[in-house]
Amino acid sequence: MKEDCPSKADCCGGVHRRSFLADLGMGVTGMALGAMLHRDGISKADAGKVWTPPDGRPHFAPKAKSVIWLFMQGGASHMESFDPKPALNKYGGLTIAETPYSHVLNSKHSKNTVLFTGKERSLLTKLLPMQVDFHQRGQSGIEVTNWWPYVGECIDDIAVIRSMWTTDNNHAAQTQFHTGRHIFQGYCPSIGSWVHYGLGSLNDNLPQFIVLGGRILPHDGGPAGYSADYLGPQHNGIVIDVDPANPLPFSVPVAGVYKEEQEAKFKLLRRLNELEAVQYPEDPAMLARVKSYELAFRMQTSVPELFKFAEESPQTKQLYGLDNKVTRPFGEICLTARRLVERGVRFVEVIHGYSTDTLGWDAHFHLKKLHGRTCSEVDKPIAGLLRDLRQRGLLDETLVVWGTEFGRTPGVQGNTDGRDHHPSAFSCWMAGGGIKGGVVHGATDELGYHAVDNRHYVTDLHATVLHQLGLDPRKLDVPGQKRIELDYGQPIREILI
Amino acid sequence: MRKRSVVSVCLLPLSLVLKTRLVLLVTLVATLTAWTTVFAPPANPQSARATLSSEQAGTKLYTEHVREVLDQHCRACHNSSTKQGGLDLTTRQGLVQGGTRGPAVVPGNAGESLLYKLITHRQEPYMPLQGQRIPSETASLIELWIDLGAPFEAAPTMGEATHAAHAGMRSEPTSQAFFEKVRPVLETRCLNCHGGKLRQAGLDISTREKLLRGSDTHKDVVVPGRSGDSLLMKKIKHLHEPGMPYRSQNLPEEAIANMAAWIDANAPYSGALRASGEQGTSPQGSSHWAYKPPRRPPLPKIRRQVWERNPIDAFIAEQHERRNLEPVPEADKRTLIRRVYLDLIGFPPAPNEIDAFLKDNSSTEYETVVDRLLSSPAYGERWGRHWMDVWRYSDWYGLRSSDLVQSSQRHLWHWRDWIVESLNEDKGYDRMILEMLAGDEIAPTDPKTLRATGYLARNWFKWNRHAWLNEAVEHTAAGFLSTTLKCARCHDHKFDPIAQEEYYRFRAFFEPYDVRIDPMPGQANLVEAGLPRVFDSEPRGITEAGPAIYAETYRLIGGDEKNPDKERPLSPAVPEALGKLGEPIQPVQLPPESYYPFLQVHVQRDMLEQARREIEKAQVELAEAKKALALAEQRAAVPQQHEESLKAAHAAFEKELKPIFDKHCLVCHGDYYGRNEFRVLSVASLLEGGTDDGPAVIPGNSARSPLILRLRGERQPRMPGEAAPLPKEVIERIAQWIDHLPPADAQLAVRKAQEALALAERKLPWNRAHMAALEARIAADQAQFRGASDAEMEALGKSARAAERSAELLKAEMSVLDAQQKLADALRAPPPNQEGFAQVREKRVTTATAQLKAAQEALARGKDRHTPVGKHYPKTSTGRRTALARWIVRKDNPLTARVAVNHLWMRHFGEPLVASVDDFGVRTAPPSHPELLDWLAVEFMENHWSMKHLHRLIVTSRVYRLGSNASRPNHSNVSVDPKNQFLWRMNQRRMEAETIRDSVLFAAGELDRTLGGPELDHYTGQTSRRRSLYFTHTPNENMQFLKLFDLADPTGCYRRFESIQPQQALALSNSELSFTQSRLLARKISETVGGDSRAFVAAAFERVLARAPGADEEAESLRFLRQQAQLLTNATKLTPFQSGEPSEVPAATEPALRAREGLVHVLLNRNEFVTIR
Repeated sequence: MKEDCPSKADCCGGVHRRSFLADLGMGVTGMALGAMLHRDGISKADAGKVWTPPDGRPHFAPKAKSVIWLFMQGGASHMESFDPKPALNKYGGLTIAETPYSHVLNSKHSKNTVLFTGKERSLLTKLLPMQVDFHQRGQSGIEVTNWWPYVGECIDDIAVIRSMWTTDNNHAAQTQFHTGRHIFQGYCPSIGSWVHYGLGSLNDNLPQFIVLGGRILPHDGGPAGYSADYLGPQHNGIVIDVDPANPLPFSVPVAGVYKEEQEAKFKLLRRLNELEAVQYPEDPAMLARVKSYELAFRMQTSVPELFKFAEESPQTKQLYGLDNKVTRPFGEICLTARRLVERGVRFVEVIHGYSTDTLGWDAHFHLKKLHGRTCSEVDKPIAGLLRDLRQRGLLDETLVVWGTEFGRTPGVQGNTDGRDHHPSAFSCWMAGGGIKGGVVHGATDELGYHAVDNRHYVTDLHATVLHQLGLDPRKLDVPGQKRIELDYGQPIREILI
Repeated sequence: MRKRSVVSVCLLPLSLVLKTRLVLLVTLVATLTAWTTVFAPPANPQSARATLSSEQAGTKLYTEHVREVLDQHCRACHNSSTKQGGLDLTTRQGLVQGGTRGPAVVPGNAGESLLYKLITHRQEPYMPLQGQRIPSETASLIELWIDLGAPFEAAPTMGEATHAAHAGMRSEPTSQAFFEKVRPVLETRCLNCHGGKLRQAGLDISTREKLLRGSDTHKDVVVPGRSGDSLLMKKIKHLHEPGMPYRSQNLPEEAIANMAAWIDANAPYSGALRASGEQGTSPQGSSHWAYKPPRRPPLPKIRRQVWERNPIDAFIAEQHERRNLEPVPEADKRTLIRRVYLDLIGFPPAPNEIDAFLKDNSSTEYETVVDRLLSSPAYGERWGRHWMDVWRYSDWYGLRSSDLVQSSQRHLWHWRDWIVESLNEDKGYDRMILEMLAGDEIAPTDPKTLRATGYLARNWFKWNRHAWLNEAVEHTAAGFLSTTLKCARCHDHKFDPIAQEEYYRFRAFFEPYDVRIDPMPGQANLVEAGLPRVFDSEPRGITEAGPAIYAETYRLIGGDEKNPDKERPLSPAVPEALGKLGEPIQPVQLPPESYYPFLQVHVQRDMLEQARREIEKAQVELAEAKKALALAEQRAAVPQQHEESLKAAHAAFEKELKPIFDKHCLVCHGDYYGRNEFRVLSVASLLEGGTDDGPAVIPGNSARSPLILRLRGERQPRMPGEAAPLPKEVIERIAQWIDHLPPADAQLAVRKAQEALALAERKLPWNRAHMAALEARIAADQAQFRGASDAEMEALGKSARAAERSAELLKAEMSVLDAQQKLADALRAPPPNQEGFAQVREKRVTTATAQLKAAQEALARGKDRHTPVGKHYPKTSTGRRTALARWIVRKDNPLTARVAVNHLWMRHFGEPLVASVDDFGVRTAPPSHPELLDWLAVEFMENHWSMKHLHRLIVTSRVYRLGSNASRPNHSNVSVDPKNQFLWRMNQRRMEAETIRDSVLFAAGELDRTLGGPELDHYTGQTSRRRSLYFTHTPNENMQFLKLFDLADPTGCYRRFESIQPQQALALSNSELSFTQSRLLARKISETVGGDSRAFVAAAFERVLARAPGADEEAESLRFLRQQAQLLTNATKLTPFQSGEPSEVPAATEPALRAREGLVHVLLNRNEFVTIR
């Protein structure tokens, strides 16, 4: 307190004051807030003695700078997307036991599934034929279904991984896909948070881990799919709505406030905090808080600017399908994702979620109608994103990942024309950022029941992302936070350039 | 199959005639022939056909079969050196002499032979001990062998070790040597994790028999004689992941070679393996500080005794003196009073309280303040919230939109209120633990105490019992004992001395517990109100109500719930390293009011009251139905007018309502997949409605329209389900539209009104009959418990049954009519794209018809008992949780008091004494002040576990009162102890989320101090004035404002984060809360100070920051007021923000006042405001 000050020279010493002001004036160029806080040594309450958090530099030369993580919520059918199974057409209507592939029912891989409800989902053994045709696409001739005409055109930029598996047979697998843990084993940092934690910022006006599109629903883990857990809330994904009026919570004051008025208040606030800093020059929390207000103030401008789509050329807008009612919503999201990586945001998590007309990808029935619709919503925007990144020279440094929480059963669900959840096999793909194009990695059995060759648990995807960004997950470890071998995953080296 | 049938065919007749030796020889040949064909190809086919003497036959039996059985299953423990139970089975003499329990074998009489009785489980201890039961075929062979005189190979010589002395050594005289070579390796490198108590992966190598049993997942750990096939070899050669020894260097080549040779020599043992040294199974376990009961240490002698205000200071000063740390002076009084207010009650002192404190120089003025704060109800709220973190308070969550409770329970706020009240009345912490874990057993009829069991009710999880119990186990261990049992769910704990089996023994305390909601006085509807509580249930399978309750606890092999170790049911026990249960577990007999809650007077009264209200409601409905019919007929008479208003309503829907619905409702109630079949696409679909409520909209009657009721939150679940309520004006617009909406078809409306009337006419008699039936059933139920005569009970039962039957009949008739009407409706105008609809209704008709039929049949039968009014629960409780709780609060429990003290200390000082607050295991860093921790723990227990006693001690200590400013440190302090681990100053902290919000409200003089009650909708947090702990708090639903300031994670939060993020800045600078409150405060101050700007600045600083402004600050503030007022005078030239929700209190129109509002707003955003110095 003021009156507590024994002498002016003591607490208002020039050195302290100057260094404080210099610190403020220097700005925060080239550093994320998270990194700033680390530098100030205050981001973790219980930071150990020897251990230091990451300094924002990669551990080895990175191949990619940013990640766009496209997540198809609900469980996209691998058979009707990137892993066509003609055998299903041949044996459609028969039970699996009646096909030559009855052994899949007794596979050791079945053991991995963890029951969410404490009882087995009934085994759907009566096969449902593929609900869509497929063709070989591109130079590479990779088989893709006809629901993906535009992405199919880009297949030579893409490495398809057909051998993913996970363990949750319900939608908490969405959280598992992002944290690497079954929800019953608790929450862990999400992949975006690891990236945010490990790497510094390329832009000081925006958060470094941004979530666009849908949300993970509460009973599936909610924000755990983009939370930092023990890494600290400063590494959480920031959910931004593609809505210039109110893109994030409290982004604008209540009605009737003037910009000039607010600016003057921020000026006074800064001045008063400076006076406090003279008194408490070594209070790191204070410095960080002053900076957080500055970033907040800048975000009030920088975030709405993201949505100035008018700046984009008509060709670009068309590329993302902004001219079409079906493709426009996801097109705008994909376009925003590009604008974010262009501005140096490290990790953009895009969730294609439940919409007004569909159940997202959760096609328990009417698979043909539902997947037909969801594919048409995302196909052109995703392909547009890949092409746009390429034409801007950004694809080489941007890693694009397409994934979903699990696949769908080869068998038909009850008396419907849909498929149930299927954690034993699903497909993902990657493109850009040092990934080989036009390759297929891994395989499922003839029915698409189990991933059999080069099987990959979801953390292998995480490991690949971190590897391309130049990060070694083991070096990111936090003392006292035990990770098991499976948590680290293994980079999928076969698809790296 | 073949094997089994042949043996039984041969042996069965044989055993019948065994006593007749004569017959024996005749049958033996046939028998032996059968064996040889069954078990092994005969070495010499001819010999099998030769005639054998009984001794020869017995010998053959021994060499070919029995010897191996004894080797494999018995001799590991019963050999000449180990002689378990004094028994040596390696010689015939040993066999016949037997051990401490007498002869193992009576030659010629298997039935009398102990060995035979034990292996066939006719007598205990069952043999092989803890091993697989010997198959009955094998046992039959042994039976036969004993009956044949139990000969050994050749002619046995008495007592001589012509046979191998040990199991597995029969052909290898040097095998003892083999074992001695590998024994040291097994004992030093393997046994720590795979022996005795710790059995990582289920593997125990301490005896040969156990080794050969293998691990949970691999039976081939050692295959005797075949090292190449033995997993052990692959592991130590690192050919199989993880390689062994786990995470350490490979064994030397020589050791690996020895191991192979030993396995190839059939892996002989000579006695069980022993871990080296004196230690138990876990070398670190017993000596770890946290596992030894705390003892009160003597107070250290310190040099500067004047510094010591109370014993705490002695321990702190000792460290200062030892480390040459010079503590800073005490904080000034203003800093101190703000600190202790925020710390003890969670909001700052009011200006008059500061004044009084500053003026009081009585030398006990600070203690007076402390006592006042500790007796304030706000103390319980503040510290209640802390303990809610530790105990994982969460309101129910799941799918609000479907009203699906997935986790926790409805009305869990009762437990929150219990926490707050218990703290305020300074209930002992030991008593609190007892009530939370076992309130239903120690006070089964006291609803106040039962509230405490919300602690366990919170763990409820709809889908999976294992997940539910895991939470109960792991968080009970972490919260009360700071023990990480979690690791031991799948395997033995890697560091702490806790075996996997102990995890499940701990789980056994909770195995029978279940959750129910008891009715509360005045509330018969359990969805609207009730008391969630736990009880010990009967086992059951998976039901609609919830997951299975298991009868037994089993270890889940590898933590896999599909793979329980069913051979060994586990009884409750606490981990050995932490102590012993002490008292035995005593089942608790429950009083009738507990196992049959409907026996309570208030419950019956409320049920009858509800039934009476239903009658009244039915009367009103009948009157309304008559009126509605008249209105409909009237309207139908003027079709022209009707047409026009209908057209207008449709136009208004398209233009105004549809955009609202499209934005907020379509995701769940769209065209394709309407939730509960309810759609918002058109007027028609609104009128059609859904399966839950029927029509969503009742034309002309918004007050009764389900859509409006749900939008307003008057019916649960509120809509929209997982989002903020729609703005009031939007809801009112929809309501208005409904009030002006005419029925779609005037003629049809008449018919519908007629139908509604018909239904209402039936409903009233049913309601009356229901009331009568209820009264009769209650009378009959009561009779059972007040010891009425049989005749009286029978009479009452009969009349209850009769009344119930006639009510059932009326209800069924009504249901049929209702269903018929709805079916007719559906068939009348099947809406497009809703094919499922007619089926839904048809099903209702079928159901109702079936009910009618059932009721009529029951009436005809006339002999059934009446239905009891409510549910019966088990009459006894297992007492397991009481036993657990009593053990936790035993004074010799090494952890409980230490853990609690550490939690308290951390929340007073910002840093704990033991850094890892939820893990006191062997790998944790030792306490910074071990003696202080123990002294406080003992002090706590000896003062009846009084938290207020500890608070008082802590906050009146010298160390608590120290200044916190690190800016003028003694430089040697900084270099010696930069992190202030030894408390040479107070730590500075940011307020917790709740404290920030409460303090904003308090500063503005707006804080509503109402205590307790149901949780408040978190969406109202920006405008409500209630304290923050009362708002919905779940992993999914919580107040966004609070969440941004690192709110506790309700799935587990032993310590809060303290982050600094730009979103926090946005929340404090842009929220409705901070604008409204700063405007209100500015106006309040202005009312007192009038036009005096300096006085305004001074008062604003006092209210917000609890201090006067410095000269610079005053100057800056005054300049701001001037300039801002000027700026706002020309408001037309200013640029407003484009969007933003309207505020409850708009900005003042007068520029000077608006500038003042701005100043207060700035002060609320200051770093200092959120900082506790």
